[in-house]
Amino acid sequence: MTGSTRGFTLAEVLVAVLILSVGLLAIAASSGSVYRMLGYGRLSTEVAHVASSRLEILRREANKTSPRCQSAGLVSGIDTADNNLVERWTVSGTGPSRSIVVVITTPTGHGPASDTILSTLDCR
Amino acid sequence: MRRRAGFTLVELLMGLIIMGIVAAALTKVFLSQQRLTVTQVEQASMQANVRTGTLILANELREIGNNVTGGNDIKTFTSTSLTYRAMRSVALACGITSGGVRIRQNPIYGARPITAGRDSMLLFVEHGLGTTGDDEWVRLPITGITVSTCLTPDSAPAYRLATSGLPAASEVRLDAPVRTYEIMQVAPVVQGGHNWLGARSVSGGEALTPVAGPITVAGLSFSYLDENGNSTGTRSNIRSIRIVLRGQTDWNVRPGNGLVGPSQPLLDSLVTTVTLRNMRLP
Repeated sequence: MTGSTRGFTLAEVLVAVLILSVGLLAIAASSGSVYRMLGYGRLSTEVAHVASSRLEILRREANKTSPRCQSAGLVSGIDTADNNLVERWTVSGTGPSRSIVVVITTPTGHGPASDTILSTLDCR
Repeated sequence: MRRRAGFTLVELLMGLIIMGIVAAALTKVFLSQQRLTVTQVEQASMQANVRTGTLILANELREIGNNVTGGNDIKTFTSTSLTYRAMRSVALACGITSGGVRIRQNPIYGARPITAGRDSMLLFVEHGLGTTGDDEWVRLPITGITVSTCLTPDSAPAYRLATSGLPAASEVRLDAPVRTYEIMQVAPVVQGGHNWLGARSVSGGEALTPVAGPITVAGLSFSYLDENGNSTGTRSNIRSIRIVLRGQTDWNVRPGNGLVGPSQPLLDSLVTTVTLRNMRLP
């Protein structure tokens, strides 16, 4: 037999398989990250709606009395919305306006995350 | 004897089998990736549609009022349909003459021209000058629009909105605000085999057309809440409206990772609450 037989060595094959699997893994990982981003987007939308709903409810509470903001229900509180979103809101200030801080805590795969939304209620 | 170059049948078959296995695996990866992409695109599109639908509804309904002078902005309300007055433009009155209100051509704040029949107006009437207690918005139909001028000595370019049931000219201040509105309805509508969030101008004689969706069957629901957040069926008690919009994908897609489970539409829903802004305080 002259020289080495033509063909791939085991090492070459292993390297090729490795490169191929790295490529496939990258594809799989990208679809996973797209799913994660879709999930985040969905969650942020829901958080925004929960927070704005809370602001609207506080506004309704403020409008109960004339002049506004005298209602006993216009106080800080905590509630749990759908999908285990926890909303905490604080009402502070006196006089012609109230400061509202709504903090929404969401359970995620990496532990709870919070979003904070600030607003002001007109009490005149 | 020297061996001839080439492959034996066994080598060839082995090669073909291995190539087949590799090709099959690659095709499978490719196809599942393709399905996954379709699922993800559909899901993203559905989420955008539901988000858009709730934003449209919240923004439309935020502006309406209740118990205001000049009538109630909510015309009819059910758990799936709402008919309301939608404000379309604001202008300034510069002359009340027999059967017509003249408004300045400039400024008129609105997204489209005022249309006779489709639009009506609310005219701010001062009545007595010394008090605000008797001020009111008077609802008037718009039966025609012609180019005109403001009353002398102003004589600026104006439109004359023909109407009926006008108050006395002396009770309306110069540059009193005029708001024009049309009657709108939001309700589900079926088109092309899907349910949609639909809207139409009732006063414009339109049919319901889709504005966002697709939504599920019974995918739109309204609850009407009083000042304590309890459900109410009395129009004058409505203070806020809770909107639930349930969306679905246009097509059946593979759920989850795109590989398992039967093909079916993906569903998602959003809930939002909007408090009516233009309420007269108690």
